[in-house]
Amino acid sequence: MRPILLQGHTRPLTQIKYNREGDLLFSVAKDKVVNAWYAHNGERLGTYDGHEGALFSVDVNSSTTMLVTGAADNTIRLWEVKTGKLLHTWKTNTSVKRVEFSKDDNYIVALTEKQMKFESEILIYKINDLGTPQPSSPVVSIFPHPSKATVVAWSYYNKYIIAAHEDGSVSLYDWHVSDPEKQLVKNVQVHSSSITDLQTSEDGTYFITAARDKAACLLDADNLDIIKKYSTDAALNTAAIVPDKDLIVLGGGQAASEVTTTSSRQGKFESRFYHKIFEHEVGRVKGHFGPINTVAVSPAGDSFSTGGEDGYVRVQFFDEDYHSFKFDF
Amino acid sequence: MPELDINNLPETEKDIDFTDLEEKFSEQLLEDTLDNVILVDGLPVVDQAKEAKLFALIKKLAKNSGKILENGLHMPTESKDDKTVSKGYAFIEFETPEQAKTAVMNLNGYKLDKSHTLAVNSFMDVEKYSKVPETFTPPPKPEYRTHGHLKSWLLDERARDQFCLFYEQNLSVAWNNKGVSYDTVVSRNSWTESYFQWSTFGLYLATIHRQGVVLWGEETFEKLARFVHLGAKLVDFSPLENYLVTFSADPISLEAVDTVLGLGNEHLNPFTEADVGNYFCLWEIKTGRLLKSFPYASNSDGSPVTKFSWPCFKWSPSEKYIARMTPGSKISTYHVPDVRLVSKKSLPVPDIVNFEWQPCSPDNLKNKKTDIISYWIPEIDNQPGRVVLISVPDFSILRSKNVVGLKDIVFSWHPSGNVLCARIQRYTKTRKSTFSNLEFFRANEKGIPSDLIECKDNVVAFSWDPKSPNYKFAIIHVADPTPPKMNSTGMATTTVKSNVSFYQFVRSRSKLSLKEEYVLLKTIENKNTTSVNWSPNGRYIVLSTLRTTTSWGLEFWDTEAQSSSNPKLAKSTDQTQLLNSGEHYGVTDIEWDPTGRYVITSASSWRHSMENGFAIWDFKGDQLSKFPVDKFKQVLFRPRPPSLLSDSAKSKIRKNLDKYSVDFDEQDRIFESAASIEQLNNRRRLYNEWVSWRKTVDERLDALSKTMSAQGLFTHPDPSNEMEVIEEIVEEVVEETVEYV
Repeated sequence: MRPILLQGHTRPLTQIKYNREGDLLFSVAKDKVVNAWYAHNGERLGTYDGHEGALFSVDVNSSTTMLVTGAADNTIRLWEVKTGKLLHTWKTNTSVKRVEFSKDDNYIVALTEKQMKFESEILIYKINDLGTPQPSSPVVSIFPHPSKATVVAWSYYNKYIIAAHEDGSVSLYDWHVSDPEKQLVKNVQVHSSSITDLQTSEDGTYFITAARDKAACLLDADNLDIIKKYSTDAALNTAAIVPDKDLIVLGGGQAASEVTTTSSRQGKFESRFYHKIFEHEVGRVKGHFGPINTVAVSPAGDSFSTGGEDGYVRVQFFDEDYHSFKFDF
Repeated sequence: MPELDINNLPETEKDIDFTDLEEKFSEQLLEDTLDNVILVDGLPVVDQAKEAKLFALIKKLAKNSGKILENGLHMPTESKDDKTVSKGYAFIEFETPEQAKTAVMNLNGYKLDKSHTLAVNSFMDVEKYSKVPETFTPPPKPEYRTHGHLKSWLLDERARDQFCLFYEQNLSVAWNNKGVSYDTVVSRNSWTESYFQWSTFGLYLATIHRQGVVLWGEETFEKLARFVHLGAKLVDFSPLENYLVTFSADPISLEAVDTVLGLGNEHLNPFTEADVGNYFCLWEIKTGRLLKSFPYASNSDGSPVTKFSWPCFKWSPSEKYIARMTPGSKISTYHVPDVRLVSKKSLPVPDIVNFEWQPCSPDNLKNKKTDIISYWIPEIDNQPGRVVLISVPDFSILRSKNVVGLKDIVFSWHPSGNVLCARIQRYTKTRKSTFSNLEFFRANEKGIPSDLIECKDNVVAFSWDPKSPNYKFAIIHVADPTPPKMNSTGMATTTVKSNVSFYQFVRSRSKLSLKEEYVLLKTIENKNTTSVNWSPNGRYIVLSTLRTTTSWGLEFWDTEAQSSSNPKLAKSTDQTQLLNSGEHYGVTDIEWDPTGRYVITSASSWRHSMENGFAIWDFKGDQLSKFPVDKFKQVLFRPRPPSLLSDSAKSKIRKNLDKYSVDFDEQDRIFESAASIEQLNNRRRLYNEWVSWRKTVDERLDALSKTMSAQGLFTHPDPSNEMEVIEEIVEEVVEETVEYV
């Protein structure tokens, strides 16, 4: 089936997210715009205006009432999904690389970049119900060591904060502890180069990492055991777990700076589907003419979306044979 | 240093006792300064009166070598018959060790007069040799080591072939499983430093290191032999893989080799003084012995020829002779293994550009009496160029043919040695453009008759079908022979339109005459072909566009296809048919397996970094598998020795192939089903593991959920808030028509 091309951004996409029902899609790019789309036809629902720098991350809570965004203008902003109203702005020292609602919507985690004299920092804020004021200082902050963190996520029941690092390792932090010495629970070397994405499963008990070393790994969120490893031929920017099937999706391609200097066919800009359990590649979907920066699979299981360096979001509905395909075993 | 007493430290520096340190370093200081001292022996014994005169003489002699230090001349004296006379030797101290070295070279053996000949040595050498123990202790005898079956790979039950692949720093030898997959036999990191090479018949795998060349073999690729040649760059095996020639751009130095071998291993140093400064080494593989080392060939003015095409030492097919040419002057032929010049001198061939030995199939080697060398010389002044065939070892001229307007000749001997093709590039009359002649010499016939094919355009590549009894061959010909532009790694940036033609030798006898000529079978026009590769068994050929940045075509042709309807009526042009065509992006190399069943095409990171890796095809041109490998460099099939079966035995097998193939098909089926069952089992195991892991996680979550919410750490979503489906029915009026009844 023909994909729907969402042309609402003029700069490389940085993150896309479905809401819990899978009917809405939120996308952020380096062009200061937050877009909300109808997932089934690609019609734009609206934008959230206010950021003054490139956006790096977006997340929506499970009741689709609040949206949180993180940007290079050193702010984290909370929006009302329905009206587009700015609810709260948190100032940070440096640009915000990642934001995520906790599984129970009561907290958000934010990751700030290491810039100038400021170290990279993981901040956790309490989120109050819609209509009540938000507390402006974080509940706890964690300084990831020794390598800076590139991605963070919540584990199941908000038990831990999972952080992936520039040196290819993954850490578990116990955020209930305020003593910085005791926050780190475990650190495991997973990849040989910088980890670019980390997405948890629906229940947060395991997660997938994508790295520039051309591999993606599935890890147990409790003890950081590497359960599966998916090796590809392209440097990876993103990885997602398909919720209702035993599949994962990987996206990436050669670094954006090299694209113009080499032939297009070796860019490897396809999204790749792997069997989650057998680590076997089952299919590829091409379309982007730049590396894929972010991928998300609809919780409804009927489509997936990719956001590319080329500024497009492609919403791709699965064909009939995707649903009927069964692995022989 | 004596123990220091904290309470009683020396007051000034002068008070500190340095004797121990002085003792420790004094010897070294002394030794350092003695490098520039030489010992001159064999001087006449003179009394004090003549001493000054002798000093002046010595100074004069040594003046050319360097500057003597002030008071640098010592001549020990002794009292004899109440006179003070010299002892007949003297020490000279130069400014630098280099000067001392040249003085030794210059003055040693100098004849002062009839009865006095100087013996000059470096003082350090005298020291060194005086320390050599008087009794000889033999070096330790290396323990004899039995090794495994060297040809075990030929006994593979499934008659698979091995190939060796090199990527990143990893070198692996693997079995080719019908082109679909491969089983690694050994895989080692940093096994070679630059590249690898198989020996002629695949017995050895050669790896190249800074210290030299190492040969590996047996089932598990143990180290079989090591040839110390520092900085070895190029390796060439002899035709029957008994000898090895290596080249290094660094001249041989005894000291450097000793250092590499380590203290106490000097006896392993294969070189002697005679080898110092040489660049090429000839080794006997089985004994590991150095037979001889060679310097660069030298031009008439004595300057070395540092540019050469490899192999520059060429072997006769029987390995009896090895020959090297000095461009423009001579061919030096050596008898092996004693490495003596045949007839004691090189054969002078003024202006020679290139030469080639007549090959011979290994089966016929016993019947071969004389060897033949073909060489050519260019047009000089008004003398026409010449192709000459001479016999070895008597160097008599068997055949000579003049060529006018000659630009270049490339020799291609048929593997049987029966026919020599001289690909002659000639100028047109205006000398503005060139065209090609193919001159064929029938070397095994009396008088060596020749046949000629004149081409209108330029033949840039020539390749014999290695097995065809009709001397079939393929050529690539183009209008303009200038090669396309290359980038720094040898990739052409444009493609050139080229044509490929097939010819074969036909002998037709009528009542009156005997017609013998090469006939054109087929021409394939307007291709980008840059390379033609025959199957080692003949008949099948791959036409390919290698090493260009814009085109990567592959075409698989059958040159003996039978037209299905009526084989008798089939024309020669129908015999040559395209089987399949394909493309391998970025292909740089093509490699047939030694049995002619599979072809490997590869894209090497030595040439470019685009989609490096290799693909395996069958001879029909179906791609069986493709393996992208990061930083892939080189892949080579392990060659096989010639078959031990006679031709009749082979044709018998071919005749009964249907009978055998039943068994083989059955074997294939068993293997396939075993493989798929194994895969299914593996998947089932993985799936069960996953399911059981999920079960433990779920149990853990259940247990945790109660405690977490009890502690107020986690708010479970309100079940009433769960998803609610609202169905909206929208009716749209598509069309409205009003009908009057």
